[in-house]
Amino acid sequence: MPDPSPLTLSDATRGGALAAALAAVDALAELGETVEDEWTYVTALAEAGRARLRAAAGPDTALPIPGESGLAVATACAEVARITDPHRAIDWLSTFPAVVELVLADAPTTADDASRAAGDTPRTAGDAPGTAGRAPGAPGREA
Amino acid sequence: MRFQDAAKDARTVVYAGIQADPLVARLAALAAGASYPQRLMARAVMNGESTDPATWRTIFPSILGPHAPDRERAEALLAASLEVAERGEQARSQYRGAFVEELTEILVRRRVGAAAGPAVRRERRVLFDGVAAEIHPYDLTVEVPGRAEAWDCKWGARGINADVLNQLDDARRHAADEETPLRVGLVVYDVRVSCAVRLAGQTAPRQGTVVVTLEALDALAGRKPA
Repeated sequence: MPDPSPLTLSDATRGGALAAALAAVDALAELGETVEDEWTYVTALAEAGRARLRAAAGPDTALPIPGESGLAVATACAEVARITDPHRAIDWLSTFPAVVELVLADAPTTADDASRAAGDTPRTAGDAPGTAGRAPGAPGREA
Repeated sequence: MRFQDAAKDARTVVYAGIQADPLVARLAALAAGASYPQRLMARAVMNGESTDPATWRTIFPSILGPHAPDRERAEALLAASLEVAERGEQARSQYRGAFVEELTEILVRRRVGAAAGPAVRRERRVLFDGVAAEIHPYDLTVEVPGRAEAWDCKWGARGINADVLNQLDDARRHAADEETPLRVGLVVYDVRVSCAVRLAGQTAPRQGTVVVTLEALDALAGRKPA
């Protein structure tokens, strides 16, 4: 499992968040794979999780992320590091990428957004923190 | 096609106690009105190691932060989810299962309306003429003639397996043999991607089975997901 401390990202960018999250997924997969009957599922789930994280990080991985987003990802990775039960690891392998996706959805995805978030440009009305994110987990088609 | 109460054994009696715990009803009522991000937070907390609310507020700033929309509900959902997380591993698992069932019932009742309320039942078997009865009851049924439904509820995608898919599909086919429509489905309190990965590894028939995932729970209530 990754070192759970300190609770900061060494690289406070979308790429840094991605790297930390991918390491956490690797750790969850390694633990989850010890449930032999679920090896195939865990392997496929981890790959889907990695793909989801890369998509959430977006193409411009050098973009900085706000401090609270970095702390959120680092804390989520620390929570992953606490897991020792392989069955719980499999459950987290399912949940963790969606959690990081949610965090990154609220972080800037363009240089202009990043500048605005850094205070270079005043926020527009209604552009409240935490409400600007795209909706991860868009409407499903299953139902 | 007809419906019947499931026989009670020792396990179901113990589980009935958990289903009746006010915590389950409170948690389900909160989740029923929650957004997808709030529901995801509840899943993470109920599956997490940490029971310190500050940890979860840090992980979910857009849900539990000072500027988060509907923060009061999110905080109540966090508190209830932590109550589940603080139980022992086995009890936690049972509470999570009971929660998904209760949540499903609330949402389905919203869709079918008050008049059909008595037709929404729990722990029922579906019987067909000339067909051996399945051992396991369905978690929730809607027993409205011509619009009958049978649902199984799962906390996670791992709950999807051949037995579950076969039982649901068998019920649907037997109903069709009697020229009676029966909508069958799985409600999975897990993300769509995980359910898709799980289903991809299954060979059991599933074309006629609806799978409702965490992102689309509101469809149970007849609403488009928020």
